[in-house]
Amino acid sequence: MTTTSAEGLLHELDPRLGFERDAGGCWVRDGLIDVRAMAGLMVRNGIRLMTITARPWPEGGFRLIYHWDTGPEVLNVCTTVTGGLPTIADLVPGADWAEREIHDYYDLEFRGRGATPTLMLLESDPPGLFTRTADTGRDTDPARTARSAADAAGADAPEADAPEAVPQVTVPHVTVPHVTVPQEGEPK
Amino acid sequence: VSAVIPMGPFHPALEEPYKIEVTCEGELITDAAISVGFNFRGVEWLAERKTYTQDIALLERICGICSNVHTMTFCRAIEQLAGIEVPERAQYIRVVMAETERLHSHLLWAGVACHLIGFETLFMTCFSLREQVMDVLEGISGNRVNYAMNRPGGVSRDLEGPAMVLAAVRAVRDATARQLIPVLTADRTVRARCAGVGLLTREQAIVYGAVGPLARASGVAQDIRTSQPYEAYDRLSFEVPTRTEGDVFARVVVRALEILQSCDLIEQAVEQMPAGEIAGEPFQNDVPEGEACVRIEAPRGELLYYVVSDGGETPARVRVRTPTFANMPTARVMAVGQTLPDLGLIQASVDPCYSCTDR
Repeated sequence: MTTTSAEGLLHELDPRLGFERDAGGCWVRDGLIDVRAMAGLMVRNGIRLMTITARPWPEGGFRLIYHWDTGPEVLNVCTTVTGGLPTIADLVPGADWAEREIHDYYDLEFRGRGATPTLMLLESDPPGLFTRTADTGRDTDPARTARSAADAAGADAPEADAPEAVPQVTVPHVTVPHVTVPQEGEPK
Repeated sequence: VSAVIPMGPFHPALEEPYKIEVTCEGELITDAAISVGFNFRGVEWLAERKTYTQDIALLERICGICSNVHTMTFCRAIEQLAGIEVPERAQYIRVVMAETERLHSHLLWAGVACHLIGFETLFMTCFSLREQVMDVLEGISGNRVNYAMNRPGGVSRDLEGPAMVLAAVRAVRDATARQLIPVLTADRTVRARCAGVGLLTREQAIVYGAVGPLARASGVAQDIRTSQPYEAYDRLSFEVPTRTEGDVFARVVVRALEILQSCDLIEQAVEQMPAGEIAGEPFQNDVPEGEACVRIEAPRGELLYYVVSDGGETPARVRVRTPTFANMPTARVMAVGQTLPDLGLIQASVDPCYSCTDR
């Protein structure tokens, strides 16, 4: 091992990399990272890859976060990609399932892999499940949409309108027959 | 002549569906391929469509054994994003719940391992002890499985029967020390069945990203409770058991010692627990923009949650990396070079949870 502190590792990877810290660990949020150089460095230093996270990025493409365990803190290295990026699964076998899962959800290509078999999806399913269904199911939850509507109404008007009256439903009266429950010790 | 033998999705060792396809030369395993996803429920997808409060109930149902750690980690992520403080008493109650859940998980695993080894009497002993632990969980939370104890800013219920918890935990510790540990660590049959089987070296454990008792049995002294303490763990005294052999026997020993350790931690937490509030103001789904990365030591190892807020009442991204997701790929390394009859035991020594893995 040469070094295991997050600063030391980042300096060795690229001295120009900026980072910040919070309760979630050390974050590298800018720049395009050479992921293979990063993976090689971490393997040489005995640093464990915790996982890789992908999320759609508002400016287009995806943000990938490589979470590394340096011991006392998590080193989160972010990089933004559009078409795809090189695999690190040949250097860090623990990345294999994470890359396959990201391919399942977002159809993001990890270049250099012999194949990217599905992990969570069926073999016959096309990749990119989360991308394909990005707009599905966002406005169907009655509890959430009711509050969103109330919030929107509150933001538009200085005084929120009274909520729309809930239609009254008449429930037919049902007479429940009286049942006598035998007491303990009483003959049934 | 090579033979390819598929085992699963329904298979003899475990109750959950997954598939391992082994290539054999005679009885010797020369390669293995693992398939998961049979339990895929799209929990991360669903979590981005529900409010934070609704997500607590959703994420609690990822796993039927370690349900508490999922909500605890998610609540910690919310607390980190929203800057919510957790009262000290609630931190101790969270430790009691987490360690009782670890007891429940490890005793269940020990029972299954004894069953696979062929030691049915000890299987019964483990499940009898586990039942006492389930009674404690029910006594504290009112539930045996999904405890609904965690909420952003604290816990939902106070610890109302500390004497009951202490009595049960002391009984479990005595029985474990008297009956379980001698058999699991010194019995000739157990040792013959497990020693030297399913090797995972320290280097392999690191590059495959192994966590928890699996990694600790390969000499990786990694435990989030000590490396990055959370809740009240920094105020409790304990050491992390590790072994260097990296075989099934080492995993048995590490988990057996962790049962005793969890009993000690529960006892310390109950005795040191200060009086006071158990939660702050009710959480109203108000989470400012930001991202949080939180990890804790679940019974099977490190559990990681990455949560992104865009300021709305629904998280923009919830990433859940469970311990078995990290551990299961090592089964290939451990199986190659072993004989086919050892495969069931090797798989079980990972203590896998496919409900967690598939989410």
